[in-house]
Amino acid sequence: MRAIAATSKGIGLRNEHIHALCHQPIVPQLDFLELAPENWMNMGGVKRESLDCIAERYPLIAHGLSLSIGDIQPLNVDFIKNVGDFLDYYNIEIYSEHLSFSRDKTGYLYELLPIPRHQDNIGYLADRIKQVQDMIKRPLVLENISFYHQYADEMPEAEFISALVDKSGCELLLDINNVYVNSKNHNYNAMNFITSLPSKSIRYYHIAGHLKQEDGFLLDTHGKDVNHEVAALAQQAIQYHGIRPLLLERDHHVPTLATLCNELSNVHQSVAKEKQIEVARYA
Amino acid sequence: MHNPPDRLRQDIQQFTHAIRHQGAATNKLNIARYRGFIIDNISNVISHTFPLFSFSLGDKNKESLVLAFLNSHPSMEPEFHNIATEFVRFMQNHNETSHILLSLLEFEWVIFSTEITPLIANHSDAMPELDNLKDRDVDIILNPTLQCVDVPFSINQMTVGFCPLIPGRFSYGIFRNKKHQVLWQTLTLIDRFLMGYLDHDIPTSYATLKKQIEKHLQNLDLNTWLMHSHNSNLINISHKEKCHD
Repeated sequence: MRAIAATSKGIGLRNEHIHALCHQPIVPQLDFLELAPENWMNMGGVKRESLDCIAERYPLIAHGLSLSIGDIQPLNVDFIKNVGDFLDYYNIEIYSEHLSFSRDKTGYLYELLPIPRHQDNIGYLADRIKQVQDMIKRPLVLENISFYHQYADEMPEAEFISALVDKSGCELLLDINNVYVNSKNHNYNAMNFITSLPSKSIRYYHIAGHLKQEDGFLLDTHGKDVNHEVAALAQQAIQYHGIRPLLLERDHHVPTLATLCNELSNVHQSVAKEKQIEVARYA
Repeated sequence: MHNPPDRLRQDIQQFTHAIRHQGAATNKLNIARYRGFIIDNISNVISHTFPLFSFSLGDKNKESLVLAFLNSHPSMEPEFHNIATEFVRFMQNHNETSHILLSLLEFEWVIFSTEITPLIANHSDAMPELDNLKDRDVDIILNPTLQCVDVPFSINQMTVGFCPLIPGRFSYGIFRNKKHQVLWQTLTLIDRFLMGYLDHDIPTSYATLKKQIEKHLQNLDLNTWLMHSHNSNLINISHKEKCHD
């Protein structure tokens, strides 16, 4: 199986594309697929059969939804163990999740909610991250989420994330569209955020489209093509931090596999212009 | 090991309490936005996993139940697809639901869980010839994915789209065949009686089953029942595995 390299590019594994991915020739523009382990683990039947087929043809990255690293309940150890077993079974090196929480004292809320960015929370979160990393025996890669709520007296987001990386040893999934959406909605400079992050910790990038509402507010919907401003921001991020694997997210209004792979190639070509970037050196 | 800071506890509880309990006419747009996302997530899973139930319920009643679910249900399963299981648990404790609607929901949940169960429906393509006395050294086992349910309605598998529920009392066996198709078939009293002698895990020998049946149902054509049930994947009949020293 080919390895995922710094110049690799991929898309999310969607139900709409499963048949094509299993039965059509391997798509040369597609270097990897990203999937949510929760949607596949402990499943049988046609889903399991499909995943076994796809895993033989394409390298996989796991991008979870339910870890809830930022909540105040004990970590769900059974769930994390299941994730670890799944990663090992399918030889998945990269496991990413969201820097968010999705559970309160009542139970799971099934949405990615922002963690208060306070200094006092860093030590607590770092402990949890280290616990997860010990269990899954790999670095935990955390994504900067789009957020629509702010708490009082918060640290700047890049400063909070950098402190967490420093304390926990986790890696980063830099979502360019989320940076763009947040910068517009909360009125800050996107490149200042991006350049404040530690380059060595960035494991891979996400890029996606968003929805602009009538009042100008942006929603991270993953339902549209990547616009030129997000692509330009991605190009600057890659020029600054170096090339990394790039994942194009598309969760709604999903086009055909061929169309999405073409968009992936076009986006990758425009943001990772070879003359202007260096291949990243991983630690 | 750090405990969660008090301020973090407070911030999270205040935020999620507002999401769970804020009325529709909230002046906090950020809360309303997250509330909307969660309601959409839950509604979509319910519509997708329980199409007949959703259709029977109607949009307004569904919205009301989703809000009640968000308000107070202690969802313990983390995966998004487990919203379906959590919703069934919620409805089983919700006193205002009609018996037929709850049964329909549970029926569709069994279909959903059968579709994704990691259990494997092994099936021998070549069924032993039971009419050949020499070939009767066989084992019989229930499809491991099989679940039997009793419901207060009949439902036609072949109907596309919404099908009217005919009130009554019916037993169904729901199982996944070797092609990963989820099937359900009406179970008669004879079906239930015979299946009572079979197991999902431990094979029953043909000889043992025949001996038991002859005591109670001398006129039953056991071989025809076995052949029909094997062909539908309700059971699996295979030659006994011989042990070699």
